[in-house]
Amino acid sequence: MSILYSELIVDILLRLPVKSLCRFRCVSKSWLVLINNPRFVKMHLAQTRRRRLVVSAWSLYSVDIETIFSNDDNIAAVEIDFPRSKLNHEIDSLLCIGSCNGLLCVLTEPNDLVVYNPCTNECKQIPDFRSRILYEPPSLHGFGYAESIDDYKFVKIEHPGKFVDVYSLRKDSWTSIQNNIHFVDKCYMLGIPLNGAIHWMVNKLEDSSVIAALIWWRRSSKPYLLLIFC
Amino acid sequence: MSTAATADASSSGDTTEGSVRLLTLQSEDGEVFEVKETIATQSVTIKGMVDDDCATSTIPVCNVTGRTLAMVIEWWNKHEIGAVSNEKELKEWESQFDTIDDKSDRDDVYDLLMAANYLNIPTLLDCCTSAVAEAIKGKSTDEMREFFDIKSDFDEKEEDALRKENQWAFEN
Repeated sequence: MSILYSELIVDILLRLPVKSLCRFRCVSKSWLVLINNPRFVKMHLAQTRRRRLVVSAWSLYSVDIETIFSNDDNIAAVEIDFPRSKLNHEIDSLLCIGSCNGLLCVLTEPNDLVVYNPCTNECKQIPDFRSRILYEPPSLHGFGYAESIDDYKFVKIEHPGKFVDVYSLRKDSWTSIQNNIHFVDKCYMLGIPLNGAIHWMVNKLEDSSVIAALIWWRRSSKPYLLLIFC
Repeated sequence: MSTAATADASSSGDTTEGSVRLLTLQSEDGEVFEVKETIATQSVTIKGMVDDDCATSTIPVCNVTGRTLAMVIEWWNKHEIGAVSNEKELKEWESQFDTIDDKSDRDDVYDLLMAANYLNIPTLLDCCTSAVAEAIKGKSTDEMREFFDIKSDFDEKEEDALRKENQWAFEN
């Protein structure tokens, strides 16, 4: 029997579903290192063809996008088995407030925020969030991936926008930066993550003009806030 | 092309059949195969040799046995570009890779994988990789160790902790 080259083993493992990979972490130390390797994870993500839509209505539901496009009457929403028991507090309801690369940013009411991977069922609570309530005062917020520094970020800008609070998943901590452009108080808005930046459309405080705001990261973890006047 | 083929025909190991040039491949264990150039160039490696005019004599295919090379050539024949292939027949032939639980089937696919990798045949590599992935995706960790001939280097405690962490992946 031939012994397979490791590159061929990688090729084979890349085609496996996440569940098999999680199980095969226990095969050997080298497999554990390989499967946990961020480059392997990225490659696996890049070749995933199955796309799912997550609907949140008290709980989280997953819908296969193909069934929507196929005009099939049998569109099935499957409830996602969120690991409630892993969090040490009661959860009234779940609200997905952002998603990126298959990771969900979920508000577990009342007022906790977690980053959740529905494929591996892994869950990470964002610390010190209880004090940072989302609705009062209204705020801009968003969850996105900063490709330049390979980090997931949750961003929150409270009215009127004096501070931009940024949570880094990699560092598991918050930083706050000052901001001079202020927004009207009706802005409660989810940001759209795209191309390594998070985007919002907002009204400026001074003259209510509509502007696009986007926040992104260059090669350092210092965020840049850019405003585009429409 | 035709002039090149005529000129090359004088050198050893290279013959032409009508206007189709034949290449001579020799397996690791000395078996010799004559294959149409148009078919063999499904291998990126061989195509490179042909393009560089290095395919004028017998091409040694190291690391690949005659038995495996015959399977590779069968694959080429079924996947010849421009050939009117019967989709159903092709699927049927490919489906032999669907079940590779049997040890000898597995060894065949392994050998084909290594050959496809060595000769750089993207379609065959893709087919074999998918077949192996399909065969192993439901296996237990012990079955995987046996399948890939791997010894676990975890001690009992480490493995228990890791299993606990990934508990959901062991449930049905």
